[in-house]
Amino acid sequence: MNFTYFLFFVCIVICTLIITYWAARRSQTTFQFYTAAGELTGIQNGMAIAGDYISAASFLGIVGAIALNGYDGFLYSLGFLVSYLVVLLFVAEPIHHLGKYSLGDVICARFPSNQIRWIMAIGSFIISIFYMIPQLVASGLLIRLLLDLDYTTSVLIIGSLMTVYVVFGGMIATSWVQIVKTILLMSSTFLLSLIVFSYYNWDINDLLQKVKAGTPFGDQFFMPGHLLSNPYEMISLYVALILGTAGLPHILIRFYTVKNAAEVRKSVLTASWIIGLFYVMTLVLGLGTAAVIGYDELIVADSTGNLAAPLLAKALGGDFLLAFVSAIAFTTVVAVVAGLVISATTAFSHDLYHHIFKKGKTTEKEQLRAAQWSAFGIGLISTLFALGLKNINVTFLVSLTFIVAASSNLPIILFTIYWKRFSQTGAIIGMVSGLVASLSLLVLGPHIMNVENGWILREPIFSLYNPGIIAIPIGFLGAIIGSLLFPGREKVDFETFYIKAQTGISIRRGND
Amino acid sequence: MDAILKWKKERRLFLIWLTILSIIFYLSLPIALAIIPEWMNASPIGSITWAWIYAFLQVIMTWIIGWIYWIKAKQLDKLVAQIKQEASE
Repeated sequence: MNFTYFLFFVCIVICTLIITYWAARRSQTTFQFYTAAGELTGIQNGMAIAGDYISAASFLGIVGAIALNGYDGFLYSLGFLVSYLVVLLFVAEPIHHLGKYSLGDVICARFPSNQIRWIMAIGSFIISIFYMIPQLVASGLLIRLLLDLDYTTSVLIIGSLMTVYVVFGGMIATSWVQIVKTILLMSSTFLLSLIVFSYYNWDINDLLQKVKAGTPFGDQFFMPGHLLSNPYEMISLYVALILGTAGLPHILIRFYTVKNAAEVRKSVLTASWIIGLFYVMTLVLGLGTAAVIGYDELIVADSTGNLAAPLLAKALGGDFLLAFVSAIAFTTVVAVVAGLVISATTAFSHDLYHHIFKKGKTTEKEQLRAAQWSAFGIGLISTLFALGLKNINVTFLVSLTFIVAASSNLPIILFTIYWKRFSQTGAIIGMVSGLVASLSLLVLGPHIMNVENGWILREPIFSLYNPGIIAIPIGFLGAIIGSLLFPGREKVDFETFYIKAQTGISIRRGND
Repeated sequence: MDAILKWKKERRLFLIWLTILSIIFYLSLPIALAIIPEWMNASPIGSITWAWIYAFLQVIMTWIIGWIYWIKAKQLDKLVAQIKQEASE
């Protein structure tokens, strides 16, 4: 690995470890460990959310998807961005008002029971782990390509870093690493975009002409349909993306890190502005790659298109810019996986250990130790998993997490907050049906059952790559039917609950 | 209790309208791509097609809707403060 790369790489590692050291001295209580003591401002939290959300898959994958397929790649970006409206309008503030550390807290605020806690904890845990593993695998491959380290070393480095950040620095370290990553990512993407424009002397028409010249699609490049072959895929993908974010535990728990509803709104708005700007810039980068590098050379370098951004950086700015972009990609990976580790840790240590196993009777010190040990265990196990999955195509796990989040978590969250007749049994049935539907449709679909390179070498029984359009309604229906068939005895008055969820005010009723 | 009812009604009305309009606006993109592809691929300005214009509009609308929500939420916050006052009396 040449010296420039090494230098950037070491810089990032040292900076993040300094952040962790600073955070460690302020992570002595569970309040600090799990939620940064609610001290982040709306804008800081917004930057952290953006940092948590934009993964290397977005940065590299979407630039590549746009470079290869044009319009359809941009559709991914749109889905990711629009999903923040769902979060803003329906779930962000209620989650902040109802829960303390985890998603389980939110649902248990209405249905206090171990059953519900189990199911929310397991759901959050599974989603976080399933999201994390493809990130680790992809990052291992990426770091190997860019920094010339072998896969095992790369995964070990990223795995150890993410574990150190969370064990010692908790949510504070995680948030600030994410904030730093956002700043670095946005500035480097902005820089690259400017370079792309200046390369074509700020003549957009020239750029667009060169794009058409650089791809076998020619004039047709800008037409939709190159990646998502039929309208059902398009709609299914779009809906899954729009609804998915509002069910992702690692994003939702970030609303505990600020102190009131106004800051929650600011967080989501800031995140959506950053994410929106980012995706517009990746559009520029994607088109730039098609124009400067061209389709053929890109496919030869990497058939998934993931090397588009680094190749573009190298073509426009030589080795130095490539090293810079690689370092950014690396920071992007660690920031996201750290967020996932703390999300899985919260589910395990707060919901399972503290509430269920220990029945809520542990001291502060015990809770903190449990959280730190959980983070260590989770980091270790995910790293080992990723090491074992080196040659396996795990990209389907990414679509899985969004679909599972939208079909099992989201219905439960929405109905808990808004539907009076929702019942505990309905919640369980909804969660299970969403999970089962997503998993089975994915296993029966072309990701896994693929005659060429699937895990099961047969024709797929279910034809959509994105089963969201079927799985998500099943999840919602399961929750609805379950509640209507098995209405529960309300332990919590819905009116009071609704007001608490929307405003944070606890009203004492019975005086009317 | 008056403030609570007023707040609930205003909020509910606002959210329902905003949601319906948003759903129509956002879902029309993939549906339009499916049903009227020829129209979506027509280019009114240079080589930029309606499909791309609509896509960019979705980005801008997201920011606008977010901003509308922010303003309305601030208004509703005043009602919430009233509720808080009544609750502590």
